Amino acid sequence: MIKNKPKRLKFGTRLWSNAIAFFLAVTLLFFTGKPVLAADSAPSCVGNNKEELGCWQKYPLFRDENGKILPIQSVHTSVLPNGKILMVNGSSNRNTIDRQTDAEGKDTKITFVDGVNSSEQAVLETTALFDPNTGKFERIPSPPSVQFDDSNDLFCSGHLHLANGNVLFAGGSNRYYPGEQFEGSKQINIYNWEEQSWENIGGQMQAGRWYPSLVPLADGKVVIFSGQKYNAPTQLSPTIEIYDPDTNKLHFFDLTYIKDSPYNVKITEYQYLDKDGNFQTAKADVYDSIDLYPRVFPTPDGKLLITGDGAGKFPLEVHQSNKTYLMSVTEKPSGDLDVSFELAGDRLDISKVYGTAVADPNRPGDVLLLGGILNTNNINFGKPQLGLIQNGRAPEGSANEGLLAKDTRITASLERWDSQAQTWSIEPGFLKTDDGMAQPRAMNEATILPNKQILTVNGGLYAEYDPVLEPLLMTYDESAPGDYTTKEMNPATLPRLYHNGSLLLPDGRVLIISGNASRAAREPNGTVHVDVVPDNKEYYALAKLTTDSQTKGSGKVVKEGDYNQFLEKYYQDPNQFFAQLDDGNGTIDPLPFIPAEIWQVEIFNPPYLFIDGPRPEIAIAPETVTHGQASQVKVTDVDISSDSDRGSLVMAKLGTITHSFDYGQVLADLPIRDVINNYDGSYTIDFTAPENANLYPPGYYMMFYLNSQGKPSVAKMVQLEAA
Amino acid sequence: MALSETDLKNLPNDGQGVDPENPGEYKILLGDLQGNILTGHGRDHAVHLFIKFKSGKEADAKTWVQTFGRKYVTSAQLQSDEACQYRDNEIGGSVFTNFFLSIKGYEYFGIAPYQMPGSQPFRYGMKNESVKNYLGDPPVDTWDVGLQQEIHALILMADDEIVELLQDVNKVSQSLFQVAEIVQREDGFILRNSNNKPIEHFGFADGVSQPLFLKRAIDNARQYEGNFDKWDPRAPLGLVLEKDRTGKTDDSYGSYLVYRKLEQDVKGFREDRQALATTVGVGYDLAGALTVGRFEDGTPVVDSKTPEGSTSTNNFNYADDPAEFGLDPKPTKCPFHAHIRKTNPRGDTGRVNSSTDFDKSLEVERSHRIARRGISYGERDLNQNPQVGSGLLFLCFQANLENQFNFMQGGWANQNNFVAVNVGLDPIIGQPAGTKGNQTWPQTWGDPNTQEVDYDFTTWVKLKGGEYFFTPSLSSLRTIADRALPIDLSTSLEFDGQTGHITLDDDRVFDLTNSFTLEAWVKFSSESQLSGVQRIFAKPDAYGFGLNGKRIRFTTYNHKDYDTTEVTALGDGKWHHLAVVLDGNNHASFYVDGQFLEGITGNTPADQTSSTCQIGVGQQNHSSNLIEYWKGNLADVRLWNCIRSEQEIQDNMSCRLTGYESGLAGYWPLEHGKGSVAQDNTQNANYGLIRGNVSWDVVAGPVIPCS
Repeated sequence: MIKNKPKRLKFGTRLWSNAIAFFLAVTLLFFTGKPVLAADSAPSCVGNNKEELGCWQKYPLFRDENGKILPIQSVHTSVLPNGKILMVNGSSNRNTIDRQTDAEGKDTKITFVDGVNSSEQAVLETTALFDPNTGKFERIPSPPSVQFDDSNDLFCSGHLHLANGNVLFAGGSNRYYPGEQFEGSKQINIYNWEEQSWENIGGQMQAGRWYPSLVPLADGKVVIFSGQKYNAPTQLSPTIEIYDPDTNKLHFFDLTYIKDSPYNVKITEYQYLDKDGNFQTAKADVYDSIDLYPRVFPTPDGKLLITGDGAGKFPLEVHQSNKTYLMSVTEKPSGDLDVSFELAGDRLDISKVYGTAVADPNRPGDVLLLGGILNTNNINFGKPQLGLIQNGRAPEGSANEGLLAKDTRITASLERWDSQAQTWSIEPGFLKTDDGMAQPRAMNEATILPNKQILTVNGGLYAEYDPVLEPLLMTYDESAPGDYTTKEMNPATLPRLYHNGSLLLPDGRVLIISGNASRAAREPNGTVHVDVVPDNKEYYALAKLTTDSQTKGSGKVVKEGDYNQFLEKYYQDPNQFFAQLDDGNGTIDPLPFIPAEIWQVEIFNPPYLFIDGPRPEIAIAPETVTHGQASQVKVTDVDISSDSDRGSLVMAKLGTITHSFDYGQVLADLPIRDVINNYDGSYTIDFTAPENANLYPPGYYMMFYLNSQGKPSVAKMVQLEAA
Repeated sequence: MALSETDLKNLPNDGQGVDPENPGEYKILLGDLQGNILTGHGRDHAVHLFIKFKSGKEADAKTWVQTFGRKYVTSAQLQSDEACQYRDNEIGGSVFTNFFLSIKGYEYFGIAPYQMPGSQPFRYGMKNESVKNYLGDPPVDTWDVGLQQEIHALILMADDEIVELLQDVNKVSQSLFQVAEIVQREDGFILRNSNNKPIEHFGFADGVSQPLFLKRAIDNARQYEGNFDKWDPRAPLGLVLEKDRTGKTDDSYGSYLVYRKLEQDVKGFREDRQALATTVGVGYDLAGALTVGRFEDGTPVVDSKTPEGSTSTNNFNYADDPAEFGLDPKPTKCPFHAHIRKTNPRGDTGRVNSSTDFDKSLEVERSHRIARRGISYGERDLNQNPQVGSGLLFLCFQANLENQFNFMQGGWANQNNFVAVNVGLDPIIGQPAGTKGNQTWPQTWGDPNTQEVDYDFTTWVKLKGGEYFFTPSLSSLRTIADRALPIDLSTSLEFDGQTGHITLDDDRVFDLTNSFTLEAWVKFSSESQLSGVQRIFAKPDAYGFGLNGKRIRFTTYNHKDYDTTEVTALGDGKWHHLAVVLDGNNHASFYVDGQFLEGITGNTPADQTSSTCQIGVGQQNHSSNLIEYWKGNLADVRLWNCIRSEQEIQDNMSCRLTGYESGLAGYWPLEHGKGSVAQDNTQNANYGLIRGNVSWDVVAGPVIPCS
């Protein structure tokens, strides 16, 4: 509430003394001024009608000192407390090219060899920092390629910020196993953002984890779910480990032998929504499991909701389950931990893979599941190499035909876990174009904006094909289906399929990074080829490319000497190349060719940045806040003359994203207790830090002030500490 | 002390292998583990009964399983003891028997999921769509009709004597009738070539390379294979053993069994092999060897281009084929796709480009090994070319289905890109049927410049059905009804009073001085047998229990004979229960048929000795002379390391104990009716060897209700 002037005067003295204490408490770190946001040197923001549809900045590619494009994508992307972006890839899912040449150095044969040798440090030197303020990249060392006598490849790890802002990486790839199979790594690596260094914890996890999910507990511990095993290729580990940063210890649990864990719940029947939108039930005869990269969320009362969605459930091709679970972690007097399980509500459709999930910023405790693949784990579904799908039909005998026959499809649905009612609901055609056409998506992201809108972005109509370039901006509206309206934004220019990232930046923009349409291939000399397509006969092949999509058979392999030029051309106009399919007919894929990896960064500027009027600024913010305790910020460039003008103050936890899920982000709307006009153009806002440590665990948050029109400030980095 | 994780992970006995003749720390394990897992049963004939228990008969079915588990199922220890008896004394054993449960079996018996075997494929079953897709298996409706049914359990019975085997199978089948249906039966036999070597229907030596766990097998391998410098067949117990969560001992383990009925189209294979030979331009022998990786006689093709060209059939690897692996290796002797190279790459995964460490890769590879226990079915005439109705009943044991059989089939044999890109599927077992092979074949064996010839070999093996099973521990089977069952005295051991007796393993559990109890059921066909001293149970120079005429005698050797008054009822030709309790004050209490007879005071406990215990005979003090032979029948001999009250004795004298009752130190029901080994049903597994003139007495005897 804005207080009346006479009343305020009464409190003047006390407030002043409070203000002194407050000023003493903050450090100079936060007086360094505004970050360089969209400065003159920054790429221009492209898009019509930015006020409603936002716009896109395309950042210069990362190049070496000779101007050559550097082959660094970002499979694992995190915002650091200093506002920089940590880009982690490890071996990056690449194959190896074996190039045989004749005496004159001409290629005689190019063979694609399965995987790379990930114990070679050079193979793993793919780590970088990106500074969204300056647009500059910086190569940084990767962790050692061998650690505790095992290879140490962060590709396919899980990650989450610890309370001190360092990023904990659990697992990854142990090795590329012949036959395109994967093994999990047992490694733990911590990126220390202040020292800019990698650390280990003096030991390893008990289980290998390729595709684990890391979920924070209120006390700063991290639960590490799932993942594929170490030394047992392509097998799901039915275990969890809980990392305690205070002791550097890991607590291990085999869920197979824990009563009522998903692994001990029999599924005899499940409900699903058929493609015509009708609910059906089917019989089943399996025991449930927890996916790879499971989508798991803390609940307000300190349990963990296992939603059933994730990223693959090998060897279960189809996870025929509606079940969701609540897991509790309890500490025994001895200090040992216990875990227990109970059933949560049933979902209305079966679980999916490679959709995204997000904690609803408008209804804390609620969880939203968006998009994803139904009825297969095969991310190649839909790719033309599996049989070009036209008008919903694939060629006879093709793999896509088989998948379509199993009702494999990408969904446009939004599912909601209502934490009050403890029930699930579904809105089947939620993801849609502005003219109401359902627009299913896989490999999509959902980034929470400070104004509590959600930007669902990236991905495609298939996981690795037919990208959707237009983000959907979701605005909370209880009268709309799924409680959100959607609006298509201006399109990006680059396709972002598998392994893409989307992160809220401290300046309110959204980083859009990476994308893997296929497996790239590395030559022993370090060159990485992205002009690569899967080939039915030869495993992988250099793509036969053409700029003439109308002429069958016009595709040609890019000559090695022209490869860098091809890259330059591609990034100048990503829609100019088309690939010839290996169907024997010279058919040209009707959609533009997508390189195996996308290396260029784009930043989306959401419409709220273009709201009329000055951008408010948080002049002073506390360095730390404590759960449930009062604190203050001082804001400027805002005019608060009545209650309805006071705007809002939020804390958005730093994002850390991989495989269509941001493990870090959560948004707390802070109760404003008081707004004091300082009559110097600034206002002091009294607020209460988030009460609920389960939903808002300790760690670094971006604190945004938004004016009453919803225009956000640039965030101050604030560390939330346990009470 | 229970076996540790390390015990299971490392080679047992520092690489010497487990020796059941001297089991040491593995004793409890071997007594509780079913046979056939650590080493094959080796019998020439086997019958497999696939069981579906009847709904509504769960309690009766449990009783049946508990009884079957006691009377038939062969422990690893018994398997070894009987094998010894056969080798050393040519004494035949009982019919070898396994009992396996499927997930449906565990569910039928209402076992809580968290106590069931945890393997995901096991819990899904082999008919599950995802499992089937992973393995590339044909649709269930093409399987044998019986194997399409829900299957709860599998019984395996095997013997060299087919008549005896079939008699026992009939007996078991009849006993099952009330509680279960036999939905499928398979009759298997060892197929042998003209050299009497076990082969499969395509004509190749089978079962050559196996993981070895037991000392005897390892010693044999060393003798025949030389050293293990190129391939070490030894394996840790953890390769095949998985903790049995329903077991009752500290070392209760089981193993997952994969069962697959694999029909072999012999005609198709032979014709394809001939066509391959013609196309590639190699002989028929070599063509066969390039598909299998061995010649018919077992000679590895990587070592020789002709049969009989190698001294060893297992001490080899592929390190030199090709000489340089590089990025794109091309073997010239044994193709990557060859069956035994696909399913046991002997280090290839450590030589390919993506390997991060050779030794670790090899170790991982070795962890996928399975213990194969298959047996042929169908046609016996090697000159025939059957297309249907013949094949292999493929059985294998492992600790981890996903990582062993399933991985071998789905991650190796079925993978075109294993161990390198486009090497093709395993031509023998690669699935699914109809997958294009991509195999290429070297035209000139061993020539680094050889031409490679494309030829798609067809898979001539077809799955006709199968299931995943778990092999429960004996203690879990013997307690499945969760209660003791009525005693059945129709089978007992009859001793001749001259030479017949049983010697037991030495064990510290017998080192009792007082506060213990001995019990047995006894029967004499005539009063004349009740003369002189005769012993039921004796530990020389320590204690002995028996009769002196019609008096019950308990002896603390060198100290006191506790003789009761005469028990005249013993002469009535009926079964009587005798018990003695030596309490902490060294007073002895005697019970007949559960009734207190009398108490006799004493002063001295039994001496602490390390002598070997016996049933049915005593021993002269301070000598090894056996005296005081038993002259009648004995059954259900029990030794407790505690004082049993009159009530307790009454309560369970008529019950066939499970063997895992608290305080029970030794329990010999003497109910098997066959063989020369007296099993101890406690976890101590102190089996006895039956010696001299002893016969199994199988008559219509009383079944005494268990209160």
